[in-house]
Amino acid sequence: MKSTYVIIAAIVVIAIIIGGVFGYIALSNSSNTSPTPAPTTAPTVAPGSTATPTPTPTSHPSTSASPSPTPTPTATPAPTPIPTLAPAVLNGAGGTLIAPLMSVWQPAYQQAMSQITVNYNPVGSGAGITQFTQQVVDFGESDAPMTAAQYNGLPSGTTAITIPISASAVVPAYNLKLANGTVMTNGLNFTGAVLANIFLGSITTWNDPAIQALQSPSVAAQLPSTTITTVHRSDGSGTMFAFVNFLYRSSSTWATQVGVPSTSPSWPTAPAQIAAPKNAGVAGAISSKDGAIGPLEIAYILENTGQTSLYYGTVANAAGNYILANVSNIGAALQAGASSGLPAGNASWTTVSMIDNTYTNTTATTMYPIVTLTYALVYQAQTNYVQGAALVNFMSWIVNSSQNLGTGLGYVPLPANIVAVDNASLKLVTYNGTPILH
Amino acid sequence: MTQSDLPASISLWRKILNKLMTILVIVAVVLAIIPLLLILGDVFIRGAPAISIGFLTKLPTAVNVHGGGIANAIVGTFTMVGIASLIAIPIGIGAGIFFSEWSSSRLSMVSGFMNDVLTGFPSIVLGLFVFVILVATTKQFSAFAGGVALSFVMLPIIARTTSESLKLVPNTLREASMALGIPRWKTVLRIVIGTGKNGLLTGILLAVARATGETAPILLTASTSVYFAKSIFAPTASLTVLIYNYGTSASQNWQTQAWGAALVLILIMLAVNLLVKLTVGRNLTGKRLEL
Amino acid sequence: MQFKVLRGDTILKILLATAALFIIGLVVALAAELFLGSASSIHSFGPSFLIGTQWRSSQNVFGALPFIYGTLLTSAIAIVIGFPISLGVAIFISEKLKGHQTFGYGLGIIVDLLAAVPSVIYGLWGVFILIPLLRDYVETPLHNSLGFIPLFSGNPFGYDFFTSGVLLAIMVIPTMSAVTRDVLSVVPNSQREAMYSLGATDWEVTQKSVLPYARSGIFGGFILGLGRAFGETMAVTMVIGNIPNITTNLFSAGATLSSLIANNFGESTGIYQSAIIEIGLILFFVALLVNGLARFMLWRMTSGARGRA
Repeated sequence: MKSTYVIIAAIVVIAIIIGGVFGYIALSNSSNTSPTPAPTTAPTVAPGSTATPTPTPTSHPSTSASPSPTPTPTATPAPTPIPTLAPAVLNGAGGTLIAPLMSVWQPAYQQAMSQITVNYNPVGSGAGITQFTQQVVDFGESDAPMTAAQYNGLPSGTTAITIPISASAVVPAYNLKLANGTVMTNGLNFTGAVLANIFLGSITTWNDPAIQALQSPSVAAQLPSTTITTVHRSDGSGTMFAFVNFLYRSSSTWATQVGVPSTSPSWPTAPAQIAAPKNAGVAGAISSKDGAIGPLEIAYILENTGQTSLYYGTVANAAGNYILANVSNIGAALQAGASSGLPAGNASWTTVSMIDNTYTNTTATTMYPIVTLTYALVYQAQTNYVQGAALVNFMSWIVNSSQNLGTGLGYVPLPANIVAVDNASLKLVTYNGTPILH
Repeated sequence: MTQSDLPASISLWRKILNKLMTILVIVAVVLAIIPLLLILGDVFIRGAPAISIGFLTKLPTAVNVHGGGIANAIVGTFTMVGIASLIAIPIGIGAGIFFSEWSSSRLSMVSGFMNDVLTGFPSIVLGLFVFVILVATTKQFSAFAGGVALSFVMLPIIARTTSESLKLVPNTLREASMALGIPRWKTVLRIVIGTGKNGLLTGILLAVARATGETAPILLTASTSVYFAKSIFAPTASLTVLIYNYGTSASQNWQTQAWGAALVLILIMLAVNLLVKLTVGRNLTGKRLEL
Repeated sequence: MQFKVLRGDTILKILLATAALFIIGLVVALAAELFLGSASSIHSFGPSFLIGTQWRSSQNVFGALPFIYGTLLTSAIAIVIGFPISLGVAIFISEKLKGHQTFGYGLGIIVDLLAAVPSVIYGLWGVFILIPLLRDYVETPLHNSLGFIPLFSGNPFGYDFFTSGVLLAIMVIPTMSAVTRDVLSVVPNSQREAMYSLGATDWEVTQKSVLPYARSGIFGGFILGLGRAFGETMAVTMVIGNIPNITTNLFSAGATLSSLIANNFGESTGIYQSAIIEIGLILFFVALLVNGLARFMLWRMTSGARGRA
């Protein structure tokens, strides 16, 4: 038998297999996009809701974003839960920061709504946005708001609603042995300008006068001549975004050399520098090298109870106070930052930055200056009622009923003004033109 | 016939060289064993505290709640490696046989070369490929997609080891078989594979081990879950993704569980290895081709 | 009877050829996918992508050279360390342990277990155990005593090419030694006996008769190990320092093509993602080139030599 016939026959067999695969794909696609019939139990407002009615935003699906940020109402009631929800599975993907808190929310929500299960895959903020854009997940999650390019990348005719669901802070973590042999614990003082110079590579040793000037005399005298090793994330990260946002505001040299904040900043070459993946990598690198310093999420340090080689310092806020981050001073910063107004849920959140909002705020004297929100992303026009109803119910539960579940782990509950914005945003989610929640 | 039977007239240099090489070989073994013991020991020490019956049979809990388990991850890993094996073993062995028995055909040479290139693909790229063709198109993360991605990791290993093992089967066996009038296809299937089957098994076990330890491809295709998957067309947890997520987290509880999961994974591999080798593989006295 | 036999032969050949063709098809599809994904990046940046040395994603400046260098350097270190060790282990098990089958058997299984350890665990182990070990006991002494050689001239950090190479070596040893061991054990005893009867020492028997006989198989193990070294992502990413660098200093931080992909793929969108996919494409071509070179060398070595009895 000629070998050419063999090859032809083999190609035919492969073509059959590939055809089968594509057929399967085509078949499953058509079943996905068939419209789900409206359920028999229509959502109704439960009688006896006591809160004052707020002006409801336009309920027809809009493809363009609202023009200007709406002033936050002082008290928006939590949307009433939909009385009977059909069983559903919600899939989400996004940043790793929220993963521990999500793991607390999942069983707690199961208790509240046993017919809905939630899966969350912590693939990273950027991947979360990508998967959200490709509509392979019900909700995305990100530590940084979507950029203009990402908004443009959404499927045409769709609008994303951005919902802050939690908050955290970035602290300067270090591992430093002092001149007298003891380890420096929490509380070394820093300012934005000094941090910028450290990461630019212009401050290279711990006993640099610029660092000494910020400390109390007894601490300043103990600072050793150890070389500073800067550590940062090697993968894209919302934590880094927040940190370089702060450095960008603090130092014009940084602004010109590094450019606008991004989740993957172009870090300047410092003499001693390590980049490691994930918070764990950064923490590992800092704790393994004497004299290392790097930005870490406060939640990461607070969750890691009992560790002895990772400590964090204070950062000076606009009022000039050195603040050691904790739940209450982060909360104060959030309150102050949100009071200057947040956009409507379906508008663009690209320029939203708690850091920018609070950078010049001298009245909030106790606030910690490097705080960041973390956001959930949902589509305004839901294509499947069961999924959509479950989704807004879950989001509403997160925002209104579960914020305190994370304080022990270092997650800061959203202040009332942000909760109000979220509730208003959730009421924008529609199915077939009508809002799912009232 | 051993060294001591030979006459004593071997030159000193050759004796020294022989001793030197023996020492070097032993050094190599020691150098290989040290990290092995360190890693396995580390996994054992860090992971043992997490192991319990509950750990193996329960579902994961919240980060601050002790007593969570990895049951769904174990099932998920088995499922996906199973699917991957179903795809990769037939195709891999088939291709390997083709490379060995029809080694002069142009198809064999091109495909063999492509196979080598495939071994060097980072698994994350393979995961991305399956994401694009299976997940993005069906808008569904699934254990099936994870299995397909893993099969692409296993395939080149099985094909390569199969072809190498079969190439070592002496031609005399093939010629003798054909001379007896046994058709070529029977020769290949019964005689050649029968003789080289240990190599095939090694290849399959290596590939299964590799697939069980892969993270990136299933991260992109099967996502994850805190529950048992309802079908193979739904997201599922897996041991490696769990190790990745928990191991790089801040929580001591989760980190211990990650090492525990790693220990479970290695023990499963050990069990599989022993099971296969003892039942289907060579018997303990070894088999050599005596001619 | 004749016809039936021929049909059996043909059916088998078709089935097997299908499998071989599937592999070609898969690789072609992968390459096509990579080309499609990197099209916009290739279009925007052209050849400067390959020879550029700066990687600044926020400013859309992309140069792949430091990463190509990192991949080649770490893989080279991994093979230089790992291949002799694998060969040694395989020779030990198959030649020296002839009387102690069970021990060799057990040793083999344990080495194989290393192949199952997930990448992340290697990475975590690397960060917490390997890096301090190498930095304090290997790199610092080497730097202090041999620092004048450019290879050892940098300040030992731990997070560098050297540690990544060693970690990769540990990861490829199980594969290479398993395949080599298997291949060596199948070499017929007649080969060995012939050499002994000519008055050879143990090592000469191994070197001149067993190894050449199994040369093709050893090469197969080598390729599999090399493949693992090229493609390994997570573990390398955690210990290499992730600072793109082209230097002969082994103790400098660096980055590889796959660590770049692992670090940035999840976060990237648009043109940045296209650039990352182009990195994947470059990795594909690097693997193609190195494999081609290795095959060419093997062909040169074996053309004329007989590998079968």
